[in-house]
Amino acid sequence: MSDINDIIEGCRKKNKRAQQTLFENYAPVLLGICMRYVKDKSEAEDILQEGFLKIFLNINDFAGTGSFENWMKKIIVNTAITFYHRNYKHHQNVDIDDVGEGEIITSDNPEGEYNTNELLNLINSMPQGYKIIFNLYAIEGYKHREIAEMLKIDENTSKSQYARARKWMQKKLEQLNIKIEV
Amino acid sequence: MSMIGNNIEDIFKDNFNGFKINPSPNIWKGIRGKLWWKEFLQFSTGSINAYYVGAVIVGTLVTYSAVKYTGNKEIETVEDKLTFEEQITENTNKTKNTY
Repeated sequence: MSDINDIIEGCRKKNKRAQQTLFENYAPVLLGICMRYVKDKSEAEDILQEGFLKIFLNINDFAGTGSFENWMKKIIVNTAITFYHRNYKHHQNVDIDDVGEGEIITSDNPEGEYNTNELLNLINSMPQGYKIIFNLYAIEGYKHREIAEMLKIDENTSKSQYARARKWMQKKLEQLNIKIEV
Repeated sequence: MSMIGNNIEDIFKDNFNGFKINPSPNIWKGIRGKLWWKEFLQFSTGSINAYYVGAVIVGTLVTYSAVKYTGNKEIETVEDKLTFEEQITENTNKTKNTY
């Protein structure tokens, strides 16, 4: 069973082999997304588990038009947001001045070289309120209006939080000697 | 990899596009277990679920009660019959004694 349409059809029929194949094929990419929203792998795996349950139980809602992978990613992001509401909501409105330096990043990087794991560490060191808006806007590509709806906040709050998050990230990247366009 | 010149959004978007992390080996087992339970609680015509099990239990109880109720009635009827027959015998004996 390798064709995605066969796998989806199998999952609709609750075929265990199809469900396992879907998990094996997509879990690494979806866990990569989860990792950007929480502080460690254990929390990310909780989101992954919950997300896959939603995917299997609601697979009949997938209309068949558009990308199935994007449909799954949307479910995972929504699950991460639910997790955020449940566990981190009270940290949302932090002011940039109130945010400590966190882990001090030393620059042993004269060429401005970096890899994805270093960027992931940077995201993970962000205050939670910044992290979720930064992920949704800068990486997932949602609009501020959509983020406001998802997080049940004002659109302007989303914009201002993102501006602060971006400023925070810019500062950290500069510490790593990574030059960027502002 | 140097990304000098890119803006923040591009740096992150490019790097996390297709980024993968392998889950721990026990994650699938956890999902399977939870999924079995959730599917059991969700109605579906094609598989055994809580609704079918509930229907079987209710059906069994109804059948059991019906059999029990009907059975008692039959026993009662037999007892009633016996009592009636006994009464006739008794009355017959009484009549015989009178003569």
